[in-house]
Amino acid sequence: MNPETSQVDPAIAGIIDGADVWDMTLPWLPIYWDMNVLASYRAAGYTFVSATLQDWPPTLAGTERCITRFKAAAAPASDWLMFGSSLEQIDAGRRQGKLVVGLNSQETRLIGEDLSHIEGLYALGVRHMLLAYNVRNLVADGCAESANAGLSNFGRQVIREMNRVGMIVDCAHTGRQSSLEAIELSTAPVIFSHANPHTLCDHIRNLHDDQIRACAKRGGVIGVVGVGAYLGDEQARTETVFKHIDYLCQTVGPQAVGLGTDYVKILPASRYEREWAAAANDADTRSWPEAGNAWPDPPGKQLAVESTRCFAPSQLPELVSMMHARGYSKTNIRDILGGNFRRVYTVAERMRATGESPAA
Amino acid sequence: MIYLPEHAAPPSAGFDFGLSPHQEERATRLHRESIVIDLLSQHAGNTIFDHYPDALKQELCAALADAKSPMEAYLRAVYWPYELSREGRSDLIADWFRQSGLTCGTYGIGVHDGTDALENQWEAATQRYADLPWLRYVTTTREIREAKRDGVIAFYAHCQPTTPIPRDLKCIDTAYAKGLRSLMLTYNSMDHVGVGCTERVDAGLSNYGLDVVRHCNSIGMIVDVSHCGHLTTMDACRHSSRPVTANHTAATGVFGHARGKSDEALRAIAATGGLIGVVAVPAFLTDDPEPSIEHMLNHIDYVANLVGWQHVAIGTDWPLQAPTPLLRTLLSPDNKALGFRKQDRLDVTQRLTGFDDCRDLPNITRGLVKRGYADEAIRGILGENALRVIMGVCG
Repeated sequence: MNPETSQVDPAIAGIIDGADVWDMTLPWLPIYWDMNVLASYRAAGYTFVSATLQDWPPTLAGTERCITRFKAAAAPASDWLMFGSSLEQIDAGRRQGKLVVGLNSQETRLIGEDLSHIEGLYALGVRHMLLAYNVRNLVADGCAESANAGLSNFGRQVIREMNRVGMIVDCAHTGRQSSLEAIELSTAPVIFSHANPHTLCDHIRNLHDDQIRACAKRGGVIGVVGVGAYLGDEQARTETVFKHIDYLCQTVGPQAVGLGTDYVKILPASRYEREWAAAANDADTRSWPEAGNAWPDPPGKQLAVESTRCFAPSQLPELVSMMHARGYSKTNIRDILGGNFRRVYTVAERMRATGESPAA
Repeated sequence: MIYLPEHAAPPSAGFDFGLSPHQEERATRLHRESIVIDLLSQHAGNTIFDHYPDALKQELCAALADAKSPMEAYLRAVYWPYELSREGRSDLIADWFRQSGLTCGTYGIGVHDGTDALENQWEAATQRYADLPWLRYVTTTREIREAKRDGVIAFYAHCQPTTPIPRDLKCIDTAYAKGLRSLMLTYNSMDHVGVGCTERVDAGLSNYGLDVVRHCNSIGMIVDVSHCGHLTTMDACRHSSRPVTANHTAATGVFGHARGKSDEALRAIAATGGLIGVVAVPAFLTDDPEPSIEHMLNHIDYVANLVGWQHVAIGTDWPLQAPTPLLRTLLSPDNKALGFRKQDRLDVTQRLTGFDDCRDLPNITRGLVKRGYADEAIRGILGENALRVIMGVCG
């Protein structure tokens, strides 16, 4: 039994130990390239973390470089840490007591206008990909665009190809209309790997109820984010994370809820630029947020990301304890911790293997 | 060698408008005296290739076969007549321009970050012909008038972003420094700036698109919305502080086509003090199996009646200057990068009767005379309206 869970109620520790505990988004800036951060995930009982290992704005070459460099940096920790993208690998890691690190992409623009790169990213281990990140691209509108466009013609081809390849369509950071169209078009469940309900926190990154309902109806899952700015709580208290989980459960049921805590360390805005550039090992430092107002604040009341705290892995037992105390069943808690996202991975793998759509 | 406009051939006898001798004389005089601007000229047109001797045609075929991509072949075809002129082997294209009465046509300068090989090739090709004695790249109204006075053909730079405008406003400054003065916001598809006209969705400008419009306003670059979708067009007109153009389009009030503009859009463009350039592309104008210059004139009439002749201009865009088989590949609906669909019915073999190539520009003037436009309106549509907008935005 690890030290974090040993301090809590054995019943709570038991729930965590018996569960797949998945965090669907960890943007892996070089500043996090500190094995202690990943160790804190493992200590808290997480079994799988989906990491974003790319330059910014992301390129294929930068993504590959980032993955290669991080694999090298993580090699000395191979006794407790491993890379894994398939369920077979993820399950093997869990059996061996290792934290498994998988991959996502937070943009589609790295594929340019070439659909074949989706298969290429899959081969690298990328299993879910955001259609757009805040701003419009060739595929979809981002959540920061007030014009709220739907999917482009090319975007529709991208979704079909992602379905065929078994790459999960991820609509976090994507615009409202684009996400609704993606959910309607996709034959596989669509996820929001890291987003919160807008009803509880009025932020461009958060989801309106129509998005939440559409996602759940098609078997998708929403990962609750732990960033204070999207929780509407500068302190990112466990109680607030629970409220967001509970809102989703009350609205669409516990089968559509998961975790996608996002940042665990917040940097001053000025440092992101340097860090993302360093992530690509790229001397050519590009602007971040880039031109195009990546983070506009039309209501003028959004908390700035860098001014808030984030939900830490060590808060997990407290969160589970809270769900337990509010009457969530053990099964529901385990589904929320990871079982639901695991179900989406299962469908995607089956579709890739059989070429068939999931049963209605 | 000086090429005087007075050497221009008389208006083409190819199209019978039924003009009286007096009207023919008036049309000839107006065409000769006016500043004639084609806001989206496609050089001489593809019929020019039929007029070279066989040996030169074979050379062209070999050069095209050798190209690495259809776009590279297109580039070679477009500049082939200029290359022959540069080498002193044939001045046919200069001769055709002289016959057209054209004062100012357009050429392309891309907005890019310098890493696109094809963009760099276009630029190198453009520069290669900068010192041809009969052409002159221009950026101001004064230079356009001087070109008319000096009897050379002026070329004004426009950008159609088939590769989207990069997400870096500095690229626009770089293009401006090279001579670009008119920037279209999107091509047919949705990109990070706005939504193009053949998309299945419609939406306004992106946040970055707004920045692009504001930046163009601030540096004196004309904002053009020709290929943009409806809401992007409306958004550009709403947010631009300077005149907006749709320099090659048509009126959907006459014929429904994705590349045309609705009455609402035409009014919005005119309300900016801007311009609507009417195309000579048959598919955008009509589905009549025998399209003619009368269809183009119908659109001109419609726009002039709707928003006033002060906002009407010419932007032919057709026929493209490349051999037909190559154009068929380039503009095929299978070429998804360009975003033309089957229902857009772009047929590269189709031309307007009465507008086969640039030498038929006088037919537009003759048609305007036939339709009863006053001298001032004809001069406006042929070029003075465009000069007003260029003066207002670029000087």
